[in-house]
Amino acid sequence: MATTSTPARSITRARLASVLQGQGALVALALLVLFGALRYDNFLSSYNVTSFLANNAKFGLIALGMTFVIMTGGIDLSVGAVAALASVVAAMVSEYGLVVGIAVPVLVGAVIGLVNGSLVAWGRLQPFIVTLAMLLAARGLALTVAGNQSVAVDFESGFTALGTTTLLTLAAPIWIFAVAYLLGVLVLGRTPFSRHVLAIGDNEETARLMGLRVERVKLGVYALSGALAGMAGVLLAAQYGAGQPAEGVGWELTAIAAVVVGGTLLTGGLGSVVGTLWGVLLLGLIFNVLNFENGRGVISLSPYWQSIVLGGFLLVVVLLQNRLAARQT
Amino acid sequence: MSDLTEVTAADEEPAEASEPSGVRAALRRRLTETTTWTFLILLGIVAGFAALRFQQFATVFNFRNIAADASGLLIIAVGMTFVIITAGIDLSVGSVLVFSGVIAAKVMLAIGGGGWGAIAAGLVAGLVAGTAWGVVNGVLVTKARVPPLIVTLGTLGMALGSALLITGGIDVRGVPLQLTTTIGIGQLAGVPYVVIIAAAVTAVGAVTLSMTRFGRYTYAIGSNAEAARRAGINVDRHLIKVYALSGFLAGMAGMVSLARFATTTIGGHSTDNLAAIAAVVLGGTSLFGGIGTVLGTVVGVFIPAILQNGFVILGVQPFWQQVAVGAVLIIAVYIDQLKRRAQERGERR
Repeated sequence: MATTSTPARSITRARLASVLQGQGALVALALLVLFGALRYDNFLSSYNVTSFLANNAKFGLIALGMTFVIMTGGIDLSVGAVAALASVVAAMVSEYGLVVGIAVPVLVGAVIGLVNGSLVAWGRLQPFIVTLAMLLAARGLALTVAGNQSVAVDFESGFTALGTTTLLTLAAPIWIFAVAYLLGVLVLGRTPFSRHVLAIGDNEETARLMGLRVERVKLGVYALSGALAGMAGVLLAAQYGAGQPAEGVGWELTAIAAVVVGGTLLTGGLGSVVGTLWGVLLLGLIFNVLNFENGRGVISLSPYWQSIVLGGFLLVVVLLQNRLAARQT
Repeated sequence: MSDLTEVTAADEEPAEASEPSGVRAALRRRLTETTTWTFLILLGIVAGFAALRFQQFATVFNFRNIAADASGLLIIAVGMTFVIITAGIDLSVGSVLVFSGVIAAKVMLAIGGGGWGAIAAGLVAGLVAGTAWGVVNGVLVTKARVPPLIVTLGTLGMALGSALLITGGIDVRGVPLQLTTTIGIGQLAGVPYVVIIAAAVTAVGAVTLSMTRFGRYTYAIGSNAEAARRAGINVDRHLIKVYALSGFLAGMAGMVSLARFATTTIGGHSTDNLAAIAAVVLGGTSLFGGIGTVLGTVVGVFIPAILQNGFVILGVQPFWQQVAVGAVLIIAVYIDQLKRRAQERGERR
């Protein structure tokens, strides 16, 4: 192959590879939206779009935190359990109003993230094990605190406003979703923090020798992931009207899938917040399209296809990334 | 590159001055192994519960129950031990378990009659289905060079989705009664059949890992895949076998579950993968590969199982078990880490 390909062709191929690596999810998302819009009535109706976004806000927040963690070469398996714990905490403190109902669970999440980060950064333990242990611990705490049942939110307080308030016709969770990603993009694109995160993921030893405070950056990344999982728990409680100690099983894996589909390398050092956003929307949209397909009633596609499509899609994307990356070098 | 950090690290603590000899050295070496630590923790837990509630806890009936409840997870964890020793991971085991159970139940119902013929056909079909998923995992990991975490995350979704699709989300009931009355709840000399199956799998797994060429290859690939390749080991083929083994054992756990509960348990295995990984790591197997034992995994499986059981007897919220296991996991791995660092310093001098 090396003898036949001209420099121009290899450049085109490299460019194609980088586009697919970074924007593959966006291309797939655009195609899926186009498909849905042409095929189904009401697919682009404001009701479908807003409820779709509001439902996926939780996953969006978790995947955002996961992006930064994975960019350092780490992983955070605890997010689903932390979200469940935070939702229980949110329901329990909801009687004190909206501000407390948001601040306390987010703080709980951040503290758990700090524990994760400390064990990873200073304890030098593997992120996979630390956050697996934290998954068990947070899930156990959530179930214990809640007594193995859902905890009702206080409907007299201002907390429920989170689920009902709309601003410019968009529900509050959508705004939180949007603001989080806007901040994520700004942080990643314009501050040294993101460069430090990527430098650590690329080569931790080099980053240390360059004088980066590796431990502090790692601590920050896990704390951010925990806090965002806490916020996802707040949304969970607001949307269900109750804290759900048994919810969030497998959310961490969905988030990892969204991050990887969005073009962030599992080994760290390369990643994109925008890519993760496309990844989250794409994975969510697969479910949405399956629902619409069923609604037409021509063929009955069970919603159970979702996890099959999702799993298959994940493999295909990573396979393509691998192939293209291999050709690039 | 790492020398720069080791210089500072080595100054913190002096390494062992000289190697002590004889029995004390052997004892010392044993005591610093993670497996020994976790085994002591397990003994401590058992002793603690026995001291607090001897009448209810330390009975044959209770231990029989604990062992029967842990049998499925133990079978999965044995396969996971092999996978993790190769520095891989298998997240798909819970879904594969469910899928195998569904296939087996469907085959039994399709043949009908409720005889042993139908049961045997169903069991074989379930084991084949599990092995097939394992082969898919192995081929994707080796031939397509996709990281095991992603491959098995993908097949986790696909296996569970397929099981849901086949059943329409409703657990399959009506498997032949003999399956439950014999394998499911039957006993041989007071030991439940499911425990005998799990013990046999564990014994075969332990022997295979420690005494056969298959086991040596597994360690070699986990220590250094490139070196193993240059030593003439067909790494790809061996890895496919290891993932197939994990799938096969997940299928077997599915058969055990089907026999015990007389129905598929579609919704009940979403955390099996992480529980198995936790057990394996707790047992001293390194996620980096190359190190680990099946016996350690046995200890790792029984710590959560006995904690859960003891907490229920004590009237403590059983969910504290998960918190405790999380803490034990961190402590065990931390001790392991300290030991390994000390060892590295020792080797350097």
